[in-house]
Amino acid sequence: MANALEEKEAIRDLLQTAAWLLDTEAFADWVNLFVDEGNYQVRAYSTEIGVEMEWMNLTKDELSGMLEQVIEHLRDLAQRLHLVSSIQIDIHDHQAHSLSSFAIFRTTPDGVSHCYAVGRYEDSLIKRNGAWRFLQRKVMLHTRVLEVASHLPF
Amino acid sequence: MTTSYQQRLAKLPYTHSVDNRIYTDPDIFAQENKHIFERVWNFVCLESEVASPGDFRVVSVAGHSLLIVHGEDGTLRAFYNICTHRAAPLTRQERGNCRAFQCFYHLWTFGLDGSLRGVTRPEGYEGTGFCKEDFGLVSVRLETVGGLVFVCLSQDTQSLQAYLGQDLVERIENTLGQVELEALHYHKAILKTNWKLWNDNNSEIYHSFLHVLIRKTASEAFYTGTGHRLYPNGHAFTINTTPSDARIKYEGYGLESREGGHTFPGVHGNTGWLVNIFPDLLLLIRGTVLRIDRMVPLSPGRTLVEWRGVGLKGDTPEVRAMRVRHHNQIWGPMGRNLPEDILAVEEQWRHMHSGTELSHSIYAREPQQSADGQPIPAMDDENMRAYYQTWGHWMDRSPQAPFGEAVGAGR
Repeated sequence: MANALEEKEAIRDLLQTAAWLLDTEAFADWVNLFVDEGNYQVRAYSTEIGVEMEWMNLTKDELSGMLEQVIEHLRDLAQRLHLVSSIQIDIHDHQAHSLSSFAIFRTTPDGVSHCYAVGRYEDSLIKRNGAWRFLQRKVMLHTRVLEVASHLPF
Repeated sequence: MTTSYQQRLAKLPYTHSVDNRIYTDPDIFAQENKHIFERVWNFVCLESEVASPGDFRVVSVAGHSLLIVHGEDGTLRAFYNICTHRAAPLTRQERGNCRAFQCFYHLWTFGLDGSLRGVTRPEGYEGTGFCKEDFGLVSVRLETVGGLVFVCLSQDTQSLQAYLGQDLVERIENTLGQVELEALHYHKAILKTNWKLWNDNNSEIYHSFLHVLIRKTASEAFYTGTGHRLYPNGHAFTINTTPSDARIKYEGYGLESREGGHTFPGVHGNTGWLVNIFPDLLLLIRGTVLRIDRMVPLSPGRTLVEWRGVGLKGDTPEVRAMRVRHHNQIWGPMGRNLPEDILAVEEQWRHMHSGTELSHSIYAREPQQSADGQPIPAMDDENMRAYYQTWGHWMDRSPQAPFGEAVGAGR
């Protein structure tokens, strides 16, 4: 059985892999980082109406169905790049919780880059068949005024 | 022999196009703030956002920061968010609850009714003629309809009821005024486009099939069953009279039907209800959830848009979650339609600077008839033409020739 350091390294690898798969738009592979009962949420707090808002709340199947249709939509042509850092991991047997910070950059086709969004990932993880997977990924967005709207996951 | 663009354009009726400079010219933009946004009724928030005594919201209208305040006497009031001492803002928060407003700079204090309650070191004003009663907050006209709060910066404009007209007021009251609205969602973005192009997108259904979701869920019969009711002052109501078997089929995109109840009064689950109020307000219901757009024009090519998703107070957690879900699927910042609409109007504005001879945008569709002689009101840009006619009235400019030039011989 892997020791705690190895388990934490495996979880860090999962978080970095998730970032890479989103950067490369390998959405089917990214969705497969979730267990079948997995859940993906995007939330943000509105200072204007004093409410924590839900921007997206999907099961794995719903997420998969949405991403399969991405290619049909008129959409932002910029390339995205995720940076994930400040990773905190708390492991209890075959489950774990992870907090991390992220920044996403957009580079437009003509080569102009901007910071697109920052926030925190609050992840619930589960080890199944020897691999760590997302039971729930909750994206807590700090950025609420986005340069472009998109239904691509953060 | 080739004809020029102007000659080809001149074949259309004069009212059926507008000069693209109304979207790009800085002088016209500056005039719009003075001649339109400072004179018309502007939606600012829901009554439920300032539901209790002491609740306040800060909003922006025509470049002015305004306070919307629920007084101790239950009255909603609006004031400029400016201390009458030396123009510091009374609050830098966007919302809150308080018993009085105290300017952070020299600590002058104002009541919720706008009266100046206290000044620091008052002995300094002795013998100067200074009187607290003279320096209360500057008030702004405020009226409500259907749970929606409107303000008007002008004292000369007619009442809100008259501005909207009785029929439209009743239509809003019959659907929104029968329930207590609750903002479930609020987000904003600065679009790289002119504010009127976003209003166009919010008003016309011609572009509907830009959207993958609409292509997969709405039939041709649904589209052609949609028509407009026009009102004075540039407002419009878009109604769908499609028979039930031709309504929106959300299942076509893998989404749930909205016929499961909890719809807004008088609205079918799988149809729409759309009100456009001049100059910038969108009220749009898809069965179970209301979307409200308002705009703060920042420059000819930059527009702050505020989006609200609205449900009903008193919903169970399950029903509330359903409304949030229905909102987010299409209209949220991660919805299927909103990103496509934004991309469209931003690209549209960017290419208005292309330097080609294409000087005008075309609004030339007129009512047509089906093969069996039935009218197809959807094939009519009448609401857009009425909107720009109203724009021309407030601006005292022709939208077709805003700088007075002749546009094509014989038009």
